[in-house]
Amino acid sequence: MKISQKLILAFSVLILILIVEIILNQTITNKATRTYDTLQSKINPVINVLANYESINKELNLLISNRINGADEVDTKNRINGIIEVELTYLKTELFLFKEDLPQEDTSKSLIEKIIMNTDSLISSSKSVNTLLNSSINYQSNLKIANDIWENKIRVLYLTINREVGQLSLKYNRSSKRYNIELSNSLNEISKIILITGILGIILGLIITFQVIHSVSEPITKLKNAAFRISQGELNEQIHIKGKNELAELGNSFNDMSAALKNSFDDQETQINQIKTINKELEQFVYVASHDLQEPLRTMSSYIGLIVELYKDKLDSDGIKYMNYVEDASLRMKTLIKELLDYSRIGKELKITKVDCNKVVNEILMDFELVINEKNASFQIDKLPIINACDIELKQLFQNLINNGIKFNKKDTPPQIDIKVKEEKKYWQFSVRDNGIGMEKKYFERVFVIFQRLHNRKDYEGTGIGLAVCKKIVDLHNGEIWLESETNKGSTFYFTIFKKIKKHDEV
Amino acid sequence: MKFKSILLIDDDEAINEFHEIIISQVDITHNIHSVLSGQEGLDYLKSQGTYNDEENAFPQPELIFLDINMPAMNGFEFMVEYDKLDKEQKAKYVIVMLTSSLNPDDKKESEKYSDIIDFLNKPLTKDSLFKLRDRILL
Repeated sequence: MKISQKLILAFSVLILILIVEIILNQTITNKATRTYDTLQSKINPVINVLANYESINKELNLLISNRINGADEVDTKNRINGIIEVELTYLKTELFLFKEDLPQEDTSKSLIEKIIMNTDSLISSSKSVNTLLNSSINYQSNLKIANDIWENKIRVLYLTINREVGQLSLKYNRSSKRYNIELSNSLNEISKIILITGILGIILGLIITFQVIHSVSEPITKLKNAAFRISQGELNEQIHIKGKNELAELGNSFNDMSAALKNSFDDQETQINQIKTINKELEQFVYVASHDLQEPLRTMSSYIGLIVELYKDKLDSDGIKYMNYVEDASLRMKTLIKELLDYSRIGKELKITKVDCNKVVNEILMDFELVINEKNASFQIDKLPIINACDIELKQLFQNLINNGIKFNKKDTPPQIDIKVKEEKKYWQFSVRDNGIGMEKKYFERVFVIFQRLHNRKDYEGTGIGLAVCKKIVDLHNGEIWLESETNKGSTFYFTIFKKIKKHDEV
Repeated sequence: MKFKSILLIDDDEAINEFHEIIISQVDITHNIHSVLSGQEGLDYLKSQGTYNDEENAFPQPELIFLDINMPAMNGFEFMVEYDKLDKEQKAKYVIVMLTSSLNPDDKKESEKYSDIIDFLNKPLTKDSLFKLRDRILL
């Protein structure tokens, strides 16, 4: 199953549980609310009214008994009037309203009707007694009649009402108890539902989490390890992820990718090998061609020498001049071929060793002693590092740059050459600065092309190969070479040599 | 019929002298002069630099033989500067001289300059010079 499907399913179940919980809670809460409402609006008021009824009934009975026995304080009279006129009427009305609310078949209905009826009788009897006792005429006979009424009617009514109210009260108390139990049961149920669904949700959540972590983390670890191995060059790396989920698909794509990568690397390697072969052939061609070119040249220059020597007297001045031209040309060609050969040989046997640049530069200065003295050249050289490089090539590089610095000096200005070094994180950057004739910006790139010269041979001799050699040597060391220059102010050549030179980059 | 004056521009002194001799032999011009660089050629045409004092000593050339492969200012760079000259300072015709066969890039480059009327291989030969004279002057 797909991870996304798993997640959707799991969350659907969780949401379902939540919905069931909400519905159950709502239902039970509604029920509880209804129970509570009934208790508050139908049961408790009745119980209160009944309690009131009982005490008022008792009080009236007591007050009338007192009245008959001679108590005639204003308070007593007023209280009896209050009970008869206001409280009993009010209680009776309340009971009536409760009765109206009750369903037809309820047994309490008839009981309430009886209580109301008896209350009516009680009120009218009490009124009669009150009227009798309030009149001062025929007091004694009135008292007797009142006593009769009390004895035969009011007392009986009091007891009857008391009993009936007691009965009703009992009934209502019972149902109050029942409703209360119901309410507490509902609340219990709600808390149970919350507890159960909560626990269920937590368990389900944990299961989902572990499932997802398990089905995600293991393949990802596999992918990570495989990617690491591929980055280390193990292109045959393939991974296997069980199941049919997205990560298994990713695994398949990963396998496709590593296969494609391997193919492309193989192609590249084939191409590199082809280029290497072609390069080798080209080198061989240059070598053979230059070698074979030297043969006829040697014959030419030998015979010119012979002609000049043997026929000196027979040649006029033009003849000798032309012979000199030929000799010059053949000599130049010899130099060109030799330098072409040297150029093609650079890097043939590349051997990286530790090279002390100070030693290299000192050797060059010793080699150049004659020309340095002749031109009165001066040098300012940094303390140079010991670097990884090919010693012969590195010497050639410094030699060509120093040689250029001396050669291209301004007339009447002795050459001043500064050699500096700057250490960068991954490479050394050297610079060779001179105070010579400099050059325009448009020549900055052209000077590194083989046999490109900026000056006539009459002014500055050379074949135009020196900087091409420098470039090839710097390329061999994975570095770069460039220059800054201004006409008549001098040039600065910069080149970089990497501290770590990769062996497999050898050409 | 002869050209009034020919200017040779080539950095190789020996080949310049050779060309002077050959051109003299075919006798197609009244005057001939050679210079060793494009800059010197421009100085000559503008009568400045080393040619400043000797005004009128070197008549304006009718024909220029121009080498392409020269140090510093090569043949095409010379043509860029040449194009900026006044009409009186220019020659009538420019012939480009080639060391080896013409490569497509050079051909395309040379099409930019209407003054270049032909290409000849180096060294110039009597035959090629006769043909050139016949083509231009006859």
